[in-house]
Parts: sequence; structure tokens; C-alpha cells
Amino acid sequence: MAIQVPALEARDLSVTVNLRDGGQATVVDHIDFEIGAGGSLGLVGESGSGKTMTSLAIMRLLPRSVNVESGQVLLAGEDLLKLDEGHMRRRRGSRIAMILQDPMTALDPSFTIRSQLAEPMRQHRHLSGKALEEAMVSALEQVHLPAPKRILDAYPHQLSGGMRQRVTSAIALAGNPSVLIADEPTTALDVTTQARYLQLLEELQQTHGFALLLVTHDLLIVKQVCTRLVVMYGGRVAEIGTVDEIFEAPQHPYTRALLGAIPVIGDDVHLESIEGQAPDLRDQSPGCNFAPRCKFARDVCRTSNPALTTRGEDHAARCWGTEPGGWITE
Amino acid sequence: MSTSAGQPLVELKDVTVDFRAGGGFREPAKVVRAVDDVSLTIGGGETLGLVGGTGSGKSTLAHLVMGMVEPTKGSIVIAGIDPRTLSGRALRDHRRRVQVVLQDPYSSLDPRMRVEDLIAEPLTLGGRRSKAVQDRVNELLVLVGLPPAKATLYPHQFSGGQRQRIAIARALAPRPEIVVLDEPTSALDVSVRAQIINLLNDLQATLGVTYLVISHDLVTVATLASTVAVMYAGRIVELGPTKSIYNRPQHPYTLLLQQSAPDLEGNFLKVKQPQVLAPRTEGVWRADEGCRYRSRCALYAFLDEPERCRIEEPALSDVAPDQAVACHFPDRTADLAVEMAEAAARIDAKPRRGAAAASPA
Repeated sequence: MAIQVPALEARDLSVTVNLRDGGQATVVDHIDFEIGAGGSLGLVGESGSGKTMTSLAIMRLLPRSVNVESGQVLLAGEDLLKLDEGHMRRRRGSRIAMILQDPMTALDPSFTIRSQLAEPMRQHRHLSGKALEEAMVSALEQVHLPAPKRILDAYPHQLSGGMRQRVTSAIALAGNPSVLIADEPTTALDVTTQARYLQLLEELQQTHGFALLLVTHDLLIVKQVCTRLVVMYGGRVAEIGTVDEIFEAPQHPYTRALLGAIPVIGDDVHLESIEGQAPDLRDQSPGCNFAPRCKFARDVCRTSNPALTTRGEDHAARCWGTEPGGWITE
Repeated sequence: MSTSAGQPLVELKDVTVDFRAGGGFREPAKVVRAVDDVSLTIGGGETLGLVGGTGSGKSTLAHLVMGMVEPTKGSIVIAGIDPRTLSGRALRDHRRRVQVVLQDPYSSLDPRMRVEDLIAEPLTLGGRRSKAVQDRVNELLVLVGLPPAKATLYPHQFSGGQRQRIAIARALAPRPEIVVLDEPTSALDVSVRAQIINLLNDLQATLGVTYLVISHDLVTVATLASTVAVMYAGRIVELGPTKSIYNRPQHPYTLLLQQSAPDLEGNFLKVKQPQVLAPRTEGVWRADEGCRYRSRCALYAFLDEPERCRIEEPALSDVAPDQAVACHFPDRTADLAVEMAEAAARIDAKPRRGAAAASPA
């Protein structure tokens, strides 16, 4: 088998924020991951973990005070960070696209669905007239929206949350991208709508064959949709590997705690909680950034940041305590 | 059906709430029936969970308990008192009994007020603050796990979880008998959610306060509530102990909610559901229009569209001493669950695309 170039790679990517007081905070700290063509990777973390900044850095849509400090973003081998804005604009939508959390703000309230869906189709596929109309109807049929002709003439506020998220998906896929980034696509939706939308996402991935980067705080959603997983904590990769292996044998205490915090309906509900707060990203302490909240932390954790070490065939974690010969055994 | 072992603290009897919507020049206003003939009791010191999707009427029901909405028909009695019989000072005193914790602690706390003022506000209502109030504020901060030394800080100086603790302290300040928790954890990070759920459960054990929890997520509600009411389009469709409802749902909508919640096995809702249709919220549903859930009902399709579902609206009736369901065929929901599990297993047997394409690190 020929060696395939991954659909998307982040190589040693660092992102910093310029703070108002003149200081800097590292929000993404030398992260490294890749997604094979047609593969799916979940990027999991809490607020402040840097997951959204990672996806915005990949799309080159970072806010002005936030900069890529170092690293590469390779789209099928091509470094997006080296492109000029004009070329980057042509990659967006046709090669790499993004779905945002809130479908109400992602759609422009003053234009019909028709004009918002037509734009990427004209732009990337050079469609017009009858061919454009047919392509739009079939795009809406593909995301299982009933009565597509009526929906084309509707404004966003006339649709429900689930329908709007289906519309944004149709728009994102209009240019037939090879990579799709979905940033918390179901957070604004009801559970039943969420389940249906995730079903759709899996189905679209099979028909379109795009590589999926799913950004979420919910491990269970990743379990459902993705085959591989990155757990981020305080801007760093805490753990990376296949979903099956990480759920089976989590190596980072943070991953373990996240799995322990998942409620299981049983007799007495007492959830395992992680005490303390998310790390301060201005903090430049030399140790592991999870150490202040980690109940297993020892002196070495506070003085020296562990490297990401191999824990299996496709599995790596950043923790002194669970390395071979480490003290965390349970 | 009685849901409580203790004295009922909240009693809703045949409550209906209508709203007027729209209307304008030459166009009559429409009636939206948000809550349709609901009866419910909550026992003192217990927790009732209210689960439903957007537009199910769960928030309106909570607003009824909070006294923000008055019933169009029926009655609501809290601690033996119908608030509509009160006025003036007596009504103000009565309102103290019910407090609320909202979903988003980023928008529910006034950013210009110090934490101590936020917590003292329901006690002083703008008046002067006595030593006793100050002591109570400190006591509350300790109760919710915040250091009293931080009392002079502003909300933005706290994390989401800490802000929710502040909101809880504020709600508990006037010693309420019932606290309405409206999606209390959904704006929080996963690792902090567990902290807040444990705190709420511990507070109930110490203070004996009654909770009404509202959420669209059955799992969230199940971590707090001993009894669950599932709402759909203004009606309660299933009511009973959390464990029975979650493990053996008898209404097809409860089954859908249960199957929609992602679980550790990662195989939720693999089976195709009927076409998505939002519940009709306009106008008033007539009993002879049949079951209001029919258009989304997987059981209706599974049973080849029985006529009874089209002509008769099912009433909420007991299927066990402590469980009630509004469905004509509650005993067939288990068969549907089995059929869905089998279909999911068939999908699982097929290899997923992309699994092989995952590249080594």
C-alpha cells in the first residue's frame, strides 16, 4: 500500500494571545496530530483548553490579538500557514470547511437560505441557473430536510435549531471539502435533535468521504462519531490515541477523571469530580499543568513537564505517574 | 398517583396555561397552549425532574411554580397556600418560599455587584444590611464551598463553577422551601458539572430543601431527581421513579430520550427515526385529533399505525403503583426497544469507514 499523505496535520502548533497588560499567554502549546483521509478525530477539552483556538488556527480565522507562534498546518501536505490570504480564501470551503456551534449566528438573518447556499456553490463549483438550483435542492435533500424548495425561500428564523444546523452543514459541504471541522455542532441542540444530527454527520462522512475534526467537550459524542481522539488540557495534548484504547485504558489522570465524571444511572449517584479550576495560561511554571488538580501528583510533576510518551500502538500520554515504572497503578 | 412519601409541598391541579401569540392588523392573535391540563405533586424534601424538548412546556410549568405565570385554568397550591389569594406583604413573604437557579451563571449574576451584595440582596431587598445578614452571607459562602474572604470580589473574577455556587448561595439565602433548578449544569464544563451535582445533592441532604429540576437531558435530571416527569407538547407523557423511567421507559418518547443520550457504549440512536417534526404548538389540541405524539412516534410506525392513536388522545394512567404513562400501548414500548437494539447490532456488524484510514502517530 502506498503511503498516504494525511488529510490534515497540525505539526508542533503553538498559538499565543496578546494580553491587555502587555503579557502573553500560550493557549495552544506545541500540539501535534493528524487525520487520515476519510478519518475522524475528536478534539476534547474544557473551556480554556485551546481546542477552539486550534480549530481557528487551522482555518486561519484567529482573532487579531491571537497569533500562531510556531508550527505548521498541513492540508494534504500543503502548509496553510504559508499561503497568502487570497489562496487561503480559495482553500476555505472548497478544501477545508467549518461548522460552528450556534447555527443562529452562523447564518445571516437577513438573507434567505437560497442566497446563503448559492454563494459557495457559485464560488467553488461555478454553478449557475438550473444546475445551481438542482444542486441546492439535492444538497438540502442530502441533509434530510423535508420540502427543500420551501426551505430555500425561508429565512433562518423560520427554521428550528436542528434544521438550521442541517442547513449550515449543507453550506459547509457545498464546495465538497476534503476536511470538515465541526466545533461543538450540537451544543445548542436538544438531546433528540443532537442524536439525529450526529447520525447525519456520520452518514455525510460516508457519502462525502471528508476527514472530520470534531471539537467538543463531550467524550461520549466522540465515542459515537470518531475513531481517534485528542484530549487537550490547558493548551497541551494530555492524551492521544484511538477512541477504543483511550476508553479502555486511559493513561492520563485527567482523561480518567473525565470518564469518571460521566453519570451512570444507578443506585446512589455520587460523581467523581475534579476539584479546583482550569489552569491559568499565563502561568509559566515548569511542571505538568494538571498537577495542581491531580490527586496523584508528586514533586517531579511540579518541577518538570512530562513528555508525550507512547502507551500503545496508536496511543500516547503525557504523565509521569502512568509511565512504565510510574506510581499510579489503579 | 402519589409521587411523594412526605407532605405534598407543591400541588398542581388540572393546570392549563394559554399564551396569546402574534396577531396584528386584520390578523387575530393565536392561542398557544403551553401547558395542557397537567396535575402534579412534589413532596417536601424531594426532587422532581422535568424533562422535555424545546416547546414541551417544562419552562412554563417551572414559571407557574415560581409564580411568574398564572394558570389559565386549574389551580396551583404551594405549602397549602394558593398565591392568588394573597396580596401585598403576605404575597411577598410567600414568594420567599420559591427561589431559582438559572442555567447560565455568566448572565444571571449582575456583573456590577460584589458577591456579598448578590447574596445579601434577597435578604435586604435594598434596605440596610445588618450584622445578622452579614453573618448569613458568610455562612452561605461556606455552605456552597466558597471562601468568605472572596466575598468582596465581582462575578467576573470567578470561574463558571464558582459562579454557579454563588447563584446557589443567593437562591438559598432567604431559606426557601423549594428551589427551581433550570438546566443547572448545562453551561458548565464536564469536570465542574460533577462538583455542582454533588453539591446540590449534599445541600438537599443537609437542608431538606425541595428541588424542581428542569432539563432536556434525561441523564442530567436522573443525577439529581428521584422522580421524573417527561413532558411533550404541554402534557406529561410519563411520570415515575427515575430508575424505572430510565431503565424501563414505557412511553415511546421517553424511550427516544433515553436512546438519544450518548452512553459509554457509544451506540446511541443508531436506528433511523421517523421524519423530524416539531410538535404543533399553535392552537389547542383536541382529544379527537388523537395522540399528539403520533407524528414522531416510532411505536406508532412499529405497530403499523393503529387506528386508536389517530382518534383518541391517551390519558396519563397508571401502569404500576408508582408509574403512569399517556400511551395506548405502553407494554409494546419494550418490544420497540428490543427491535431498535437488534437493528443497532446489525449496523454495528458493518465495518465503519475511516477506521482503517486512521494513520499511526
